[in-house]
Amino acid sequence: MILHIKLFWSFFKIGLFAFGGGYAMIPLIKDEVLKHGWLTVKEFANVVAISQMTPGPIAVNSATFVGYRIASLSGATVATVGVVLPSFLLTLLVAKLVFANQDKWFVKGVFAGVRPAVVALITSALVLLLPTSVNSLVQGLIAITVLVLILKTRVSPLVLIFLGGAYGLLVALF
Amino acid sequence: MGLIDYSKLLGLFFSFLRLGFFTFGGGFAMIPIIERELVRRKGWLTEDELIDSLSVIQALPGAVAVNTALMVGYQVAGGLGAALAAVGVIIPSFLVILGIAGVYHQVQDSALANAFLDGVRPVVIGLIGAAAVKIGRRVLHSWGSWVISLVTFVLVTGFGLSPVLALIIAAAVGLILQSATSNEDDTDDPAY
Repeated sequence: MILHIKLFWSFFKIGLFAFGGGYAMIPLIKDEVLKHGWLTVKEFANVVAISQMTPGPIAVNSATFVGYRIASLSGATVATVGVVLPSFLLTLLVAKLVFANQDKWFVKGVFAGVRPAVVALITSALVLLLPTSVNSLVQGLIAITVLVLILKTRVSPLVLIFLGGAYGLLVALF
Repeated sequence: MGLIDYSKLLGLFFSFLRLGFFTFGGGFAMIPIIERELVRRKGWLTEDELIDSLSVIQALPGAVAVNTALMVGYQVAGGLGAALAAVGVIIPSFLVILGIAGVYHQVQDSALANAFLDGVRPVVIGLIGAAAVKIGRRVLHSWGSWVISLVTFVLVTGFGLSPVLALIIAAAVGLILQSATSNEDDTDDPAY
């Protein structure tokens, strides 16, 4: 029981302070998990690798993995709820405040500044992922083809993800 | 807000359940999928509402995928919608990780998973690029917005400025531009 509370609290803190998403969260999660001796450094590195190979955010993946290793299914559930709860509370609070005042000049002003910045943040996420994602001419062509297809046609992004994965498997097997 | 729209709540849950399987690449690759499913096909959300949701999310702590589910769920169906969308988007990774944690010692060899991802990663790049182009087309309509976007990009990518700080600065610049060019009753949007 005390273990469950500790798990919950640790991952609640991670969820609360994990600004920047993705890679920015890694040091925070590492500190918390090593401090309690829940994983070794090597195990933690494996969790990061697993997170990259599976869908889902690294914070959520780590919570599920660590919770399961420490206290089985109930541990996994408690840790996962803990890491998501701060986002839930903050999102509801901010959504209420922002969307209720959408017509006010100051909210308009904030969005006028923030919208172009978001374009930049998305582009910089792309630049960050580029070196590990595109390492050959074919992979470059795939990325450009997907970009054009999404912008010009109604093809489903999910179909493109599957086709990409199938291509990767084909290259590896033959 | 009258009756609870159960078909919308269920729809949200299943849309994000499906999305949960495809949140490779830090959550941004979800944007074209959400745009296609919830904006164009179901019409539950306008393009502008999606962009505003994404803007708010960037300033909050937590995972992009989860926060996107929460904010879009809230926009479509309030607090209950937010909760269901978030549970939906988490279930796939929760199950996958449970599976892996259970058989952890047998999965040292992940050659096939790596091969699959070698093909998925460039697709994710294309999806994120398409999201940037689409939102850019809608949002970058004045020299002011271009300057904000370019300066933010250089500071974040080149100088490692934290995205949260970048957003606070951009919000301040937007406020200054807005208050300099319009008063409270003005409905113009000078920044566009």
